[in-house]
This record gives sequence, structure tokens and C-alpha cells, in this order.
Amino acid sequence: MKNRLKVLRAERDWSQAVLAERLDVSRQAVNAIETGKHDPSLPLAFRIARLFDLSIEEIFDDEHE
Amino acid sequence: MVYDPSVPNSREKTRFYIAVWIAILGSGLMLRAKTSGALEALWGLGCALFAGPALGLFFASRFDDYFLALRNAGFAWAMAVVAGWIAAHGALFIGNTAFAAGSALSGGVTLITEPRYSLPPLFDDARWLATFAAAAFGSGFLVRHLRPGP
Repeated sequence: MKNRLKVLRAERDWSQAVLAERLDVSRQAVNAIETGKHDPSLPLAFRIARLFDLSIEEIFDDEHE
Repeated sequence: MVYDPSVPNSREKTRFYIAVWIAILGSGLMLRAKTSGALEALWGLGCALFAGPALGLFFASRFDDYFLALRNAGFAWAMAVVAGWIAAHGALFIGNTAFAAGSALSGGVTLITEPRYSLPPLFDDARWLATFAAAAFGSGFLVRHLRPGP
């Protein structure tokens, strides 16, 4: 699943570790989501959307890469 | 969200990965020890390194979902090894029973004291099963970790 997480993080000048702390996940989880290795669970997708004040659809695109 | 001091924070969740690398090192030691008889003494050390993190992974539940996906992949691979092991013994039982029944039907009742088929000796060694299962866990975790897609 494509996502804009890396772009959104970069816009805020956050490191993966900072984003991981804000989402309460491991840094590896952030990296895996950004690189498309892992699709987040629905609760985590909601947390990400709330953190960036966007809808889930604005961050994630369910079209396969 | 209500603060709960027992919930691991991001840094602690990151440290879980270190525990798994230790477990994978342990499984590698177990495999190396079993495949080279000279290092048999290292098998116990491998077990010790593997067992702690593995038990922690089984009983703890507050991981992030990526870690759970990796853990589940490792457990699935380990379970596949155990299932294969059980299937081999099941097939052996069926084969020997069928042979005995076939012999009895074709030539009258005969007393078969020795089983017709047998498995390689390592199938009767629980240490090999533990070693293969541990190695499969590590392999599953690593493959899922290195796989490019979800």
C-alpha cells in the first residue's frame, strides 16, 4: 500500500525515532511502513491520521504499488 | 489516551528487536552445535539465548503491529516445522499399519514384530526438533523483516 508518511514526516522535520515516539511504536515499525514493507493496522492508521490531522485516505492509498 | 506505566514506550518497543536478534543468535548456535558434534556443548548455550526472548515473545502482548507481524511469521515457520515433524510420524504410523494389514490380508495373520518403515534417527531426537523449530523461527522472522512488500 502506498503512503505519504515519509513526505509528511519530512515536512515536519521529524526523524523516524521522533515519529515513532509520537505514535508509540518502534522506529523499525515507522521504517517498515514508510518503505511499504508493512501495512499498519487500522488503529495505528487512525493514530497516524490524527497525528497529521488528515484523513486516512489522504495518507494511505490502497492501490497496489 | 490514559497513561499506563506498564505499557512499553517507543524506545522499549525498539529494544524488543534486540531481544529477537539474541534469540536468532541462539538458534544459530543451536543449529551449529547440532550439525557439528564437536560443539555439542554449545547447544545448551544456544537454548539459553533462544529461550528467554522466545518465552517473552509468547507471553508479552504489547508490541507494535509490525513487530507482531514479524513475530507471527517466525512462529508460523516454527509451527510448520513441528507440523512437518508430526506429519512424518503420522505417515510412518499409517505406512506401517497399512503394511501390517496388507500382510495379514494377503498371507493370513502374521505377527509383524518389526515395523516395515522407519524414519531417520534424528526424527526420534527432540533436540533436533527443538533446533529446527528455533532455526525456523529465526528464518521466518528474518524473511518477513527483509521482504520488500507487506
